[in-house]
Amino acid sequence: MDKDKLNPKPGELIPWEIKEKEYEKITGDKELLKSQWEKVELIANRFIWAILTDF
Amino acid sequence: MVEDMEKKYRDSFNRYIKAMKNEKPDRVPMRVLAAEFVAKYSGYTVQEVTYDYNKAYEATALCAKDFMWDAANPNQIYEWGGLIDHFGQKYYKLPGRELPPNIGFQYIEPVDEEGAYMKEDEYDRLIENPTEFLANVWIPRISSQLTDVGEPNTYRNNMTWLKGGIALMDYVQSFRYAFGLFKKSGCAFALSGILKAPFDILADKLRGFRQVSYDVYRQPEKVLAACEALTPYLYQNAIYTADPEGKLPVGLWLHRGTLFSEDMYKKFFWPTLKEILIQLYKEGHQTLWYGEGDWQRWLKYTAELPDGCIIYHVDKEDIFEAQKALGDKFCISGGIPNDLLAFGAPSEVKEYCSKVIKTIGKDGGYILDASAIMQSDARIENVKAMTEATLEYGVY
Repeated sequence: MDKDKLNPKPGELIPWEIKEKEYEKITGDKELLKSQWEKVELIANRFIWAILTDF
Repeated sequence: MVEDMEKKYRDSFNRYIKAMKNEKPDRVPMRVLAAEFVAKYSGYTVQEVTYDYNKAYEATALCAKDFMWDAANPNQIYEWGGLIDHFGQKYYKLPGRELPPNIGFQYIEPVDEEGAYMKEDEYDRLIENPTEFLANVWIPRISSQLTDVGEPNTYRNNMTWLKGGIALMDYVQSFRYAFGLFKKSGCAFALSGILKAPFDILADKLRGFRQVSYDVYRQPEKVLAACEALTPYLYQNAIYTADPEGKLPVGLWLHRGTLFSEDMYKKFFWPTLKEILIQLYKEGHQTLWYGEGDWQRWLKYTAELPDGCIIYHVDKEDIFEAQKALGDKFCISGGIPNDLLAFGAPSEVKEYCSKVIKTIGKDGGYILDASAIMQSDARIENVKAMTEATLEYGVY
């Protein structure tokens, strides 16, 4: 598989599964990390699709 | 006066919502989608309202107050020049730049394969992952300021991506100011959210109309697969921007479906669009079906949608035929011809509005609006006549 292809699903740009592997370790609340990652993902994803649908 | 406007806002909002459910409110609501007209009325140039979104909001709110509209889009021009200048989309000509200050923006259609923003051999790449295709191929190609993936990076490239995102955030945050203005003007927002048909995305922005007209013959399986691949992403984009309370409809702007044969419409345009509309409705969101042009040939397909799924907006089709086919299922809006607003006399406008109100709006489930987005050609006295007709004939 091409390592540059991240295959984001709707609402994603860089899937959480990719980011999770990049942490050396997770010592605390993983769900908190995930929720904040995905929150910004949604906003940024909207920008990509807004250029197509809105602008 | 503030108290009156707060009551006016509540009454307008409730009237609008009730009509969209195909019910009978206290009177016919006016939900007017007005673009360059608001600049003319308010004394701004079109460049001013295209580049300064606050002026667009103020101009629309003034129109909403003076014409007693119940709902409107705060900036129907929408294509903010600030974002476009920073991000560099090649496909726009804007007032004050390429165009004279009082001409509305123009979208420049690709006319051949060389100009197409998605090439004929790139369907597989789009289908494999639409988001990656947009970010890595299409967006760099449509911007005059971005570098292609694989080319040496530049400062300008980095700053363009940054500023594009920042510009969109700035624009979205400005809606708060618009909402305050509208509340003081006693007018509700008309819509929340955006949807385009998957086939329209191919025909408008990716391949262009001319190229996709070849594609449906030369590689129909790829066109179908592309529409199917786009579907979940366009759905997600719509639901992310939709009203969290599910009261305001998502705006669906339909373009090319009228330009193809029935076989083509049934095969390429309709199935994925229908799927998205039904799913949105299952999640509690109505959609404003804003078909530009004449969608009369496809009324029987639109009738396949569940009752209440859409608000059906009438442009060039016969509104009385649309009512017969769809009136029991959906609220109808629009149908007041733009050429009447541009060239008719106020008495003619009032007469036609009263005819529509008394037939289409007889039992509720009708929202008054022009057939197409109101531009500078609409005469002020005729827009006033629309309001007079509604207040005189539209009270239940």
